[in-house]
Amino acid sequence: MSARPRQSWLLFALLASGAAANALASDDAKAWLARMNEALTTRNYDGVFFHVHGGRVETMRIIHRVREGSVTERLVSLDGSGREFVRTGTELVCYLPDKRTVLVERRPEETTLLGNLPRFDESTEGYYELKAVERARLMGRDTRVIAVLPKDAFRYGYRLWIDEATTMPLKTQLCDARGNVIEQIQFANLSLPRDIADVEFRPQVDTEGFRWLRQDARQARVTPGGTTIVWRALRLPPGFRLTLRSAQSMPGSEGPVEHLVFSDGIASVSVFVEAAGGGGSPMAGPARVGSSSAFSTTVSGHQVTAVGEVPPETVRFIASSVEADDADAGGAGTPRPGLSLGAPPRR
Amino acid sequence: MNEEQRASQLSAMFDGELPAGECELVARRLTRDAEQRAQWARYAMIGAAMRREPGMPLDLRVAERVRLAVSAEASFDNGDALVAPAPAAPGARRWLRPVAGLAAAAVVAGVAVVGLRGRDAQFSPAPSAVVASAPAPATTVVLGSPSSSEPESYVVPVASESVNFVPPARLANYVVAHSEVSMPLTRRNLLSGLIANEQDDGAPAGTMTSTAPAQ
Repeated sequence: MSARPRQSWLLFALLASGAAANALASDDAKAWLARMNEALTTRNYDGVFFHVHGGRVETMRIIHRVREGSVTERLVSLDGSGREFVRTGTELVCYLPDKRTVLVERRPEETTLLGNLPRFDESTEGYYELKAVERARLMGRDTRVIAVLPKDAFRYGYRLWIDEATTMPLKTQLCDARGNVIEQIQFANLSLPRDIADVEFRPQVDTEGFRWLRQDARQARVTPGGTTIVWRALRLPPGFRLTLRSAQSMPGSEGPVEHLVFSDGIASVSVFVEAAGGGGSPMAGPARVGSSSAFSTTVSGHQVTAVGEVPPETVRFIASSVEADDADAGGAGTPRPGLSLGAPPRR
Repeated sequence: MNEEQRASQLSAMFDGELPAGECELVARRLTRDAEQRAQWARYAMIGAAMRREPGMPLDLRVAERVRLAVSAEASFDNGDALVAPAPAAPGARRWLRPVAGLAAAAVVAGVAVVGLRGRDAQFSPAPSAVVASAPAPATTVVLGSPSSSEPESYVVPVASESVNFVPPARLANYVVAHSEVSMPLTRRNLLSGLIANEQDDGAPAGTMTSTAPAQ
């Protein structure tokens, strides 16, 4: 027997075992991701974390409680703007003391707790690589380090340090396609109490003299048939598809706002369309809020704004592709996926 | 309350050992007491040094030492099972007080300091050190894991190229609405970005910074 077949067999065995190991690592990473998202959604937690973005470090506190299926959450900047975000049941309140503004948004019904969990399926795997990198010690705890690596520059990736015992993410990094860290969140302190008192969710902002932008709960969801134009994205970055369409009333906007959501399974981009001039000065061009990107343009007398935790190029691509679908004018707004076209932007 | 007690209270606040209610009282008193404000201002100067503001050159390694000190103080409380924090390095602990001065900077600037609750008093003082100033060329920031011997190094993206006057309320509202349809991890990131202080980037108050249109 010659050596060649034996070498070939050995090579095949090595490749097969390597592929199997990669598949196992990927499955392992998927399981950890699912457990982490479930923990973030269903557990009570109270922690102080450092938010690092753009070379700046800011300390924040997050308090999250699930009681009888109802979520109460408070996020507060401890040493920066003093801004707070409080969610109680169906009401979302954002206190912006530096803008002397309070935004109040009401949801018509509580969203399902696990409704927004990512679905990492075969389609998603075409655009991200999942890696269970290693075990590491962090905060004196055993963690699993999971990497979600984007395969092109239309989306960001993550590195996650997930606590083995509680499956809570103790440290997360948002990375671009080159692996550069765009944003990091690391807990300094985290507790998982059995219950959290109501007083912990009371905002500390004195809102005297503030401008309140409210939305009437009865107007929270506009009947789809009430809108006369159906909007769609003619082209989408690879992997993105329409996952949600709704028309709703929003604080600060006079008329109904069309809300389209496009997702690749991990990242999502919202597109908001409203009549131009209805809600103050028009927005134009790119903008950013933290690590999320936004791009606004005007189409057929309507302002179109795409927002998402994706690279600026992705929101620009999507916002620029939105158009009024005359064929469906007056229709019930049946979701029609946009075409997935376009080469990835240059890195 | 005499001066010594007030100083002691201030010190406890810097050390993160003051109950939430008292923190709030101290913050309110500072708005009325010029002498105490001056004391806070001294800490604020230290904070300015930490932020590498003009005229306050500071080696980036200082920020790293701060971070290590804070990491050493980090603790994790899982219900009844409290894991004691790792002891801080002997040289590290003394960096905690200057770091706490950064919170003072916020107070001097007229920003309310939100008190931390005393019940789970394992909080470390706020390490709001700005480790790289913007706008500036891409800067390498060292944020090593305390458990690893090799620190991680990453490049902070270059700051915004121009400023757009964007109605912040509407954009903020879009971000809030978008967060509702995002996965839990992303939702937290989005909302953190929303409440993070972005105004010191050079943008006028009441605006949000924007990047220049893509070519």
